[in-house]
Amino acid sequence: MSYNPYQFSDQGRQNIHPTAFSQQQQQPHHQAQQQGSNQMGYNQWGNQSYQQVPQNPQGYQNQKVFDDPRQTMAFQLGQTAFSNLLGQQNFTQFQDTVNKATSVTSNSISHYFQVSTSYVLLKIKLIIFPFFNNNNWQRIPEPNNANTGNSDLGGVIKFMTPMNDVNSPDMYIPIMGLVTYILIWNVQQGFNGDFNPENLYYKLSSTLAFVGLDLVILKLGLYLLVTTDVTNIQSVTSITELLCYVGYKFVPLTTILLLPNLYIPLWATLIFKIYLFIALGVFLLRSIKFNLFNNPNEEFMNIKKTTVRKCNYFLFFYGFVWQSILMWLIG
Amino acid sequence: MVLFGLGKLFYVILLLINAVAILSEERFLSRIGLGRSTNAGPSFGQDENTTKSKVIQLIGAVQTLLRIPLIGINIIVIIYELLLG
Repeated sequence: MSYNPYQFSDQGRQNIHPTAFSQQQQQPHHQAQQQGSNQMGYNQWGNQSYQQVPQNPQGYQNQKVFDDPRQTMAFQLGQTAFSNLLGQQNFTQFQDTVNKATSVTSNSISHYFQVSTSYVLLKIKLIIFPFFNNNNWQRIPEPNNANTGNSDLGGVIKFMTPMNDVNSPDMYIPIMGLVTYILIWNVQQGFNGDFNPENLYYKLSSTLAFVGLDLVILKLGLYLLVTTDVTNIQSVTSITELLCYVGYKFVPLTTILLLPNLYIPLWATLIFKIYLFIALGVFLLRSIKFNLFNNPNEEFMNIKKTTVRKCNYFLFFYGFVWQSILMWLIG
Repeated sequence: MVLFGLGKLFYVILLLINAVAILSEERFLSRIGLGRSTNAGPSFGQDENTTKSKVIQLIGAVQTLLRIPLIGINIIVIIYELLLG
């Protein structure tokens, strides 16, 4: 029983033990019921003193720990109910289930929040300078799953969490980026002298609407264009994962907002903005493309060349033209 | 300033789905080769999952699934716009 809310009962057990022991022999059926681990001793004692409270005032004398009989009652009731309800084995099973649920699984959304500081810094660097990545954009599959994954799970591959793999998409940067972007935008409005609390909501609404539109377009395009029967594609182009890619645009948007626009000539700002657009486009193009057609279990699978080319065109259009228009509209 | 917010996005998506849902099968879709009946199944050697077949699937799914909900949503939106818009 690893969880015991009544810690103070330890001392109580020491006090009561002689009495309880004498009663054990009177009531052997209790013993038979509850033979077992050492922790069960608690129970035994609990059950018996529960009976002895009303009928044996001397036994109650020993239980000085519980000043109040109601307390004793509550403790014993709780203890008995807890162990009767769950049982020791069930309880450990329950703990296992809880552990399993809270641990990382690739499908759950918590997978995308497993980030570390170094990951976030590397990822931001990757978004702003996507040209220095040595052309390594593929995600690392989870090692223990890579061997058995193909046969057992029908080709569904689990990837490493973002903490261990820079190329994995995450949800942390998009969400934090969204919040940061809206706050900084409003702070700038405040510097210009026309801060309005309504703007917080309006900006959030319009930004979310653009992101939604973006997501719809990307999902629809990939749904129509990527024409394979590979199950892996399903997991890669899931809405959650695409939402990550869609949300990365907040990094350049926030960077643009942070530019001091007083002392820098206009053309320099413009060039910087264009550079950021191109960088984001390159980043999106490469990371989405390499994730789409990357299946480590099979070497070059049954994806047709035409599909790849169509996808390239679509992603090029999406990454450069549409993203630039969208960022111009948002910003 | 016309704000493009979540509400506007909802209208955009609703109108687009409306547009897909009212496409007539025999008058329009079959003429341009997007009808469901024109190519019932992929012929031999043809890829099953082409872009065109996916478009056909999508139109068919929208028309089948969303017809009844769309009636209700449209009525609600029309009443809302008449009263408050």
